[in-house]
Amino acid sequence: MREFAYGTDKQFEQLESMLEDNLCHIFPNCIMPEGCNVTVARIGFEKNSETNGYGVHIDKGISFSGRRAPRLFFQWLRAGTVWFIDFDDIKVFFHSLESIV
Amino acid sequence: MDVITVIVIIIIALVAVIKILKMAGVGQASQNRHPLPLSDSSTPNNRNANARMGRTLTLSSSEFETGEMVYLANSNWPGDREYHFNYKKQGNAWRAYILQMPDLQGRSPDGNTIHTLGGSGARYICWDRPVETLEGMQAISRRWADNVQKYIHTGRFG
Repeated sequence: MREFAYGTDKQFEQLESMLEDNLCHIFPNCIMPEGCNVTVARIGFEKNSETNGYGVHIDKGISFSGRRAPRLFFQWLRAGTVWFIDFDDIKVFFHSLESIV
Repeated sequence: MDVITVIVIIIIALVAVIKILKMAGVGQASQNRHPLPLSDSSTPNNRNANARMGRTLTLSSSEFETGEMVYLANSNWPGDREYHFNYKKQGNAWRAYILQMPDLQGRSPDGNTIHTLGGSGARYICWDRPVETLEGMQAISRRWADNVQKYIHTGRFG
């Protein structure tokens, strides 16, 4: 997950371009922050052209008991998915996790 | 083993080889499209995956809702700026139901002030005319959220 938390603007632009194919792009073996009950997990991204939303998925069943994390991070782990209206908010979301990765 | 049986076996083998070659070709293309580290192959975006993870629900030809969607309002001020909406189409118009928003920090929650309608638990953004597109309602909800942020920190909406 560190690669997303510290992802550059250019990398996120590349990710946004990838999602134009309306496929779900899965990144396996993402190292989870210390305090998670798993060490690695899959993180996926997709664009839904029906809802104009950008989905960020993570394996279900992951819990976090580490340092204080944003509320949305806990919601994401619990639900397994968060849909954003704007792609840029995905970047903001991951950057907010810099303190825990 | 007669000739017909042999021909059938050959055809089955050819079909299997063709399928394997196609799968290999798709994997190669996926890797070429993924310059980021740790990237992997794509999977089809299908309704089953959405039902398991996402929230695209078609209710009827005139009803549609997107499920919970998040907007992070402008960052002009510190603190919570997270807004969650569920966009629902009823008839020809869209509504943005407010599922989650920051605490108003003691500001009045009156609907006339912050431009919302509906009862407790089902409040939605008020707009002066029906909004016929989802894109339009999403744009309105972004602007509304940004204005609520300003209202929280300055007392002025809009």
